[in-house]
Amino acid sequence: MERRPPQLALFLMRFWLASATYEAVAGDLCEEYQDPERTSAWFWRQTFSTVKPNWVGPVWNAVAPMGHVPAGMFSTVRQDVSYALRTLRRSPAFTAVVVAAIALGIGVNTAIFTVLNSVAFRPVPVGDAGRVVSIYQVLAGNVSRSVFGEESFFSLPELRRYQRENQVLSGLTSYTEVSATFTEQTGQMVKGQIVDCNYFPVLDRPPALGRGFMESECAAEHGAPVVVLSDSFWRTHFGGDRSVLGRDVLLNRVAFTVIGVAPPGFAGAGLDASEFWAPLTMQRDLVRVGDGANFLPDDNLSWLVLLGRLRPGVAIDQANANLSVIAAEIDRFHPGRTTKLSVGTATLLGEPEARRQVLSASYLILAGVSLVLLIACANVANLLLARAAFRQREIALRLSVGANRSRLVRQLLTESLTLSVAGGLLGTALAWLGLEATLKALPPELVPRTTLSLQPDWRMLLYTVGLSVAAGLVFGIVPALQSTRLDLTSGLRDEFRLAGRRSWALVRNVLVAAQVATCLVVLIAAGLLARGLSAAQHVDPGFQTRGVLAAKFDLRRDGYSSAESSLFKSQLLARTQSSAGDENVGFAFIPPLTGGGWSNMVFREGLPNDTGVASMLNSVSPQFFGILNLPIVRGRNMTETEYRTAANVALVTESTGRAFWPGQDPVGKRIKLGGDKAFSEVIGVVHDGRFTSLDHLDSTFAFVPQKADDPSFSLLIKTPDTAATARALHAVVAGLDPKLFYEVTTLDKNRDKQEMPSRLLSILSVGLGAFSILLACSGIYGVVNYAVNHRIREIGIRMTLGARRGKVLRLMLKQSLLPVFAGAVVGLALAAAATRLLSKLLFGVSPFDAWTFAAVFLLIVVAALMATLGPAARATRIDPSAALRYE
Amino acid sequence: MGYYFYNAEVMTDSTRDVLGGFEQIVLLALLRLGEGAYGVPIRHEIEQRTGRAVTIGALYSTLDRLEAKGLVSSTFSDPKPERGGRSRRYFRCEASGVRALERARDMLASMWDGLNIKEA
Repeated sequence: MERRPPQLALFLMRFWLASATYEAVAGDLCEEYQDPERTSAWFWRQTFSTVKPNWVGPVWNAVAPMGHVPAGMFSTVRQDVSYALRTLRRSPAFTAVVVAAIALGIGVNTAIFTVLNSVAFRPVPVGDAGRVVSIYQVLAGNVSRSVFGEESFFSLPELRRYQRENQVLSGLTSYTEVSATFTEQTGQMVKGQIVDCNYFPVLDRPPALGRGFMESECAAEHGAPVVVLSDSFWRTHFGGDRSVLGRDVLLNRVAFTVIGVAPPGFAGAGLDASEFWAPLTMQRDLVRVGDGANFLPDDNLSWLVLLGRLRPGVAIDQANANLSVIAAEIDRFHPGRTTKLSVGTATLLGEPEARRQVLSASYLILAGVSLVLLIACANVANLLLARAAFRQREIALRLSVGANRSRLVRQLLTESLTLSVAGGLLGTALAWLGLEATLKALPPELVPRTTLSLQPDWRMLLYTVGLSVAAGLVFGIVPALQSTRLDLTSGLRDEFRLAGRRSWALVRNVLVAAQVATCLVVLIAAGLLARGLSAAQHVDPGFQTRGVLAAKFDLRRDGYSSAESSLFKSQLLARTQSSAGDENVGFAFIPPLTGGGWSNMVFREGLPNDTGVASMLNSVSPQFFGILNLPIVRGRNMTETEYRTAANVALVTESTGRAFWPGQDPVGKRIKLGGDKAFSEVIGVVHDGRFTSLDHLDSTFAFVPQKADDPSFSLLIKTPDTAATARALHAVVAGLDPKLFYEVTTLDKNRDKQEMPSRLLSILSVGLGAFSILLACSGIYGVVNYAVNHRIREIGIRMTLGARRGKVLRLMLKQSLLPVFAGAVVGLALAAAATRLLSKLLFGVSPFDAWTFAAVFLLIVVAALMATLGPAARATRIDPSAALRYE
Repeated sequence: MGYYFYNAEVMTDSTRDVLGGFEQIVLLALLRLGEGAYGVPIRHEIEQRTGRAVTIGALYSTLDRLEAKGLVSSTFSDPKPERGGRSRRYFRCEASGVRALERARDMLASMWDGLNIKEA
């Protein structure tokens, strides 16, 4: 049995050792660790023995300007920490403000990283997860492939070939996510997985009750209607009854025999929590598409996700190399196609394209919250500077009795690190409580059952600690260096304020400018997102969404034949029409605004075959256009007879007409769908619309009659009271088939769902924006207040010599607002560069929207003015005679 | 006020450098082991003969320094499964390393020459 060395130790070594050194050192340690007498404490001791020369040195050199680590370093560190704690305890208000600002900055950051970590970085919840890899393929070149799920998935013949021929995996298994109806008294939808029969052994999660699958159960199509239930499904539906083994459950109305129950907490290796597992040979019963398509023999169909367990001693790169050889062999059967494999430690988000999208969005958000943390740091730096000014005498005294500067810098840095680590701890706690509270506050239908775990792990710990230390260095280094750069004689004579003022003021003004610039970037991003959202709410989809109920049926899943489907549909239509009115009930294959759609090639009559255009399609009944209030601008609607006979007719949108037949009347032209034999005549042209998704107008869209026996369809009902109609519909469906599962929604709800990501993002960014402007203003206030305090004498002299109050006010405002304007201008430029990244999230708003830029600029200037006005006005109320005596 | 410091490595002439005690031990271990000298056996050899534990950090920083002086060379093997798929780094004592050892021994010997500690 192979012993597994502490992974965190290896990770740390990889972090601080040069890669060649790491290879040799880590290899030696792993090899020696196979000796059972070696403890993990030994391993850690060896790990830390590699640190000193390579890591601590350079970092310490960067931090302490002396350039060498003094002997007895640790005792001075201890001294510094206890001195820092004493100092901070003496000024509790200051400490509280700093810790709170840093805690908020770090808390938001940690919360977002926690979610990202659990989705994209944490290994899947299986046994010895670090050795489990997910395998995806990216196909390039001449690719024509059927897809169920994602193109990067594999076919069964491909899986078998990788299983047979690889030399790097001790086990290779596979799964695909399915939804099935689970029928008790009523029908309901459950998510599950169909898996290869070695699924549980390869993932090292043997069922807690009963058994897993046997190889023979994956040998032949429809070989074994057996199922393993999840622990939560077993407890919910069978009350945790151990006699469940051997009983039948109806999935898609097929009886499956329960053979096992998975261990508690295990819900599969995908993002969606799985309630059951069945052998993949049961595909035709659990995935019903087309006319009962059989996926098993198809070698050019993507439908399986691959998970493998690395053999001992095999690294991911080696596994990739070995598997890629097999991929190249498979490519030989598909001339012109090249397959690139993506092999990596299995996470909940392995699919390369989805991963790329989630990561890029998350990094954008993390960048935003890091900017806010940066503003908080600038604020704290300013506070520390102000404080350091009052500690000049202490520092001058210590320097004059022989303390060296690096020792003092180190001591001041220890203070700021103590502050930032305290802020980090508090922030982590806030992040945790905040996430828990948010999850509880969200409506349950928005929180799908997932396998996500938000438990802290070493990645999160490392991130937070790194962030805290970085924050402490960022806000501590400038004040520490600035306050120890001191002319001793003037410092001791207490005239340091005049002596150091010029450089002090410069540093502080630069900090204010940086803060304003950063704040502007955050606010402009927030403003654009908010405006994008409001634009989305006012965007006209081109049809009416209010008061339209959509009920989605998939009769195939419940085992209906064509004749049964046809009968069910006609009865459903007749019964709902009798209560809602003939014109208010109709069918569509896909209801609008679901984000998904039916796409096919469309060929025009008289043009060669290679001029086909991929278009969006929908199959509908004639009432569809009336229900959506979608005007037919030319030609006519399909007739009831054309609909019933599924005649070869079609309606297209106006832009489709312009794109297909520029300058001609589309009515009377003929088109053919990919796979069809006959041409359909265009009989009408309808108004353009955003049918698929709110964010774009579908460029080409055609409507064809729905076949009467099409088992997968949505019933659309126009009604003033959707809730009452939904209840009435329920009674109608129960009268036809009480156990049938269907989903009811409204087009308004579909629309809400589409706006959800940008709504959440704009709420978050407006919150961040408000927080950052608050921080920036308190920073500006602090600086102006400080400046006034330190110029009381000068102002007194000016006023004695006859300066008016108005002139003093103008002087103060001018000097305080200069850095604000400078920062704002820099911020505008930065924002213009940064907002381009947001363009995909903005509905109908330009990333350079002048209105937003101008408004935010104005907002910042006004806010800065408000922050400045208080202390500046105080300057004008100075009594000159008192000011002249002021020290 | 400025600070003055120098880097010890820059100031030394490596060809005339006197080997440190641990450097000599490491070079001797390499000569004893011959072909199969990589991290694990080197440490075993030293620990068994001297009876003192050697941390891996100390060993590699010394080997890196000796390699930088040109007294030692190293090559990587193919990846080995028992090492988590990592390569071994084999070290070899070069001719200059042998000369440096001889110099160190001669220097010590001449210092010992004629000395009797028991009397001192």
